[in-house]
Amino acid sequence: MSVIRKDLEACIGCGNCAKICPMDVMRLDVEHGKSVIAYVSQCMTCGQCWLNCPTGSIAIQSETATFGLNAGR
Amino acid sequence: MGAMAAGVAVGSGASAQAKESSSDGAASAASSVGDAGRAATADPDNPTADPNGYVPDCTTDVTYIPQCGEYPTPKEEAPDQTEYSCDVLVVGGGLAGLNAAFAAAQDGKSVILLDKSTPGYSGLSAWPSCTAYYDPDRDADRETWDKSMRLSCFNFANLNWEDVWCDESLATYNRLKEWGWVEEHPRGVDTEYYVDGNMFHDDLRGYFTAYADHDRHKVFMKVLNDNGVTVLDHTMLIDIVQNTDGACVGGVALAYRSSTVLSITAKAVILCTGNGVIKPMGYPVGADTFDGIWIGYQHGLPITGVEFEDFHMTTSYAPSNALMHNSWQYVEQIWRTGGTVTLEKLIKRAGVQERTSSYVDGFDYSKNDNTLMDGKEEGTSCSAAYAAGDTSDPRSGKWTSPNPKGHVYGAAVGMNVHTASGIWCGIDDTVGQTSIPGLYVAGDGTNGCYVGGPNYGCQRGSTSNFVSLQGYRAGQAASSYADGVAEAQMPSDVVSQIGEYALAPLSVTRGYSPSWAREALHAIMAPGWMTIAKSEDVLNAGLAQVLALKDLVHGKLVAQNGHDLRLAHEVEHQILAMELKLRAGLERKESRGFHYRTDYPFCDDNYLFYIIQTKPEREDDAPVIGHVSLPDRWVGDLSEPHEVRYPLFDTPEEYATYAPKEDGKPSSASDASKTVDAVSSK
Repeated sequence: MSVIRKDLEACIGCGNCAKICPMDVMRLDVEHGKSVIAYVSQCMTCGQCWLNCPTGSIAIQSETATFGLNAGR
Repeated sequence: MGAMAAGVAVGSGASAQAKESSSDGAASAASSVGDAGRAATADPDNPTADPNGYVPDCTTDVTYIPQCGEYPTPKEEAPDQTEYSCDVLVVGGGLAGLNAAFAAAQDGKSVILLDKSTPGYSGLSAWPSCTAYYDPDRDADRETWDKSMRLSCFNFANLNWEDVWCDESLATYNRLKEWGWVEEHPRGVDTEYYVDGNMFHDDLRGYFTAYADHDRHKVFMKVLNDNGVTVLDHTMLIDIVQNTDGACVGGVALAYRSSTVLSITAKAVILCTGNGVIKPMGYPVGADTFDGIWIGYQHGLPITGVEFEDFHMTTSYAPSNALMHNSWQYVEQIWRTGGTVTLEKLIKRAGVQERTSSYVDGFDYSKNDNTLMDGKEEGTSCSAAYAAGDTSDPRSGKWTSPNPKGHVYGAAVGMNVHTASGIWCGIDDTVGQTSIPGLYVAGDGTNGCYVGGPNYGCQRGSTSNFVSLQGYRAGQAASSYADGVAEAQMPSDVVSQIGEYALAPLSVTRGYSPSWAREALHAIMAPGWMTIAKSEDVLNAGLAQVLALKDLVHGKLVAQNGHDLRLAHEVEHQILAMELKLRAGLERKESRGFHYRTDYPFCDDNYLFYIIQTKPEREDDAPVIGHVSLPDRWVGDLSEPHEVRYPLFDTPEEYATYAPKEDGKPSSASDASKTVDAVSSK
């Protein structure tokens, strides 16, 4: 479960998602005026970015985006 | 993940972006986005990209492979100001921090508030769906209330704080209402946006957009702005600073996105840092990482309440999807609850906890569907007055739109039960004053005060109100303290030492990823034998593993960017908290509330004390364990029979031994009798 991009062109770079994401998943690329799904493995599907996106640029997917465990990293 | 060369960001730009064709709701499949091996396209907007679309790694964070189609993660500009000074520093912008900052600001103090995210949207405070209060005109008398709290909280509730709550919760509610945090708008199921309670079917975003002006989350920033509070968002407190007299005179923080160290001098500091979790598996509280517990412990303060486990649920068919069974309650209004105590019904319920029986007996797969919680059935936790026909009482209970029911536990692995855990301030404390002059603590998981006992035994919704009240009182107390002290000064050597510690993971070249350490800790702690039904052997095995992890990664967590810098510090906090949790679980050789020991399955009056742990003098020694005896009034009449003192019969063994029986069979809920049957047949 995680945030996913639905339509990057729709992003107007308002920065809502980057501002309110509690897990620092979302960042804002000021130069291009687009949000960035930067650290998706931290996403906990609270959905606040999705609800507060004014243009429907992002969505929530049912697939799991998580970290794979191995002996050590 | 797409095929990407290590160390470079590929395929940036909108031109490489696949289009989702689904409706405005959530996308239900990932397949149309993020196709592996999709050809990278040069980005006309990005002159640094070469004709193949490759972007040099000098301007971006290349330590995470970006999502296909996303721009590279940009570097964040460092803030202009790095040194601050104020009367009162509040750490954490949840309900406790909001009320603390408000109280101090109303008292004329200059206030700075830090938040790891943005106030209103972080920690636990973004997620309540109800709030309770005590109404002296409508509710049970205080003697009945006291008795109810004792019995429903296993004779373990902090009745001094309960007194304060009864006195001040109505005023607290009125403040929250005045701010607009409590208001009314149509619930989802009564609107066109509701289909069947499944977040992938309902138009949750449409509903949210239609009623966005009612969004309770943005209330926080308005209150803070209106009261002149300076908010430093996306900033994590690394440590508090004590002067040579031992007084708390500020803190050193990290604006982690740009890896910038900030120093904040303050006459008083209030920690409102929330509870903690290793990994949020369906309760979205991942930003709470035991920060207050870690800081308090480092400064020699006693830590308590960590053996009592959280109770939040998720769904077995969509674990870690927080929206699956919470979608509506996170966007609908805050429902009014409380006043449920009556003479006739002194306790919440009697029977084996569902979390225990569902784990011990096996999960009930007949519930492994999206069975709806029918919000129309009843207003959960409505007041006794409302239930008796007093419709002028706004506490009509929770009427959340029907959602799939959460039916397995473990939605917040590692989290402690509401309000029990944190820094212990003493039996008589009701302002959150620690033994460090100038340092105050408030709120769930930071002020360990057991107002809900070891099991959140108060009626539903009391936490949001209580932590607000507690923050307000801490704000007032910190403000009074600030009136009596001279201008604060932080020792510069301590400040630079903490600053170096804050940035240290950036200089570690050989070590371990904080994400990996967090996953490893999660793997140790997540199984039910570590949290739901524990035993001596298993707790010892868990402790050995947590200590092995701690030895391996302590001081060796690597951060290559600001995001991981925050994570590295959080993981250190999580590891300490789990060590303390396991040690407290071993020390409490009985079962009480949400601490169930299969080898000690009964409430034992010899354990009527709070366990506190403090930092040892020598780093390598185990924490020093202490016991805090509880006042007579809190623990009730010790001469009464067990079944009278502990009428909840919470564990299978308690139920089988003490529950009233008719015709030789347990007389209570079917779940409980099932558990008893299952246990006796083993």
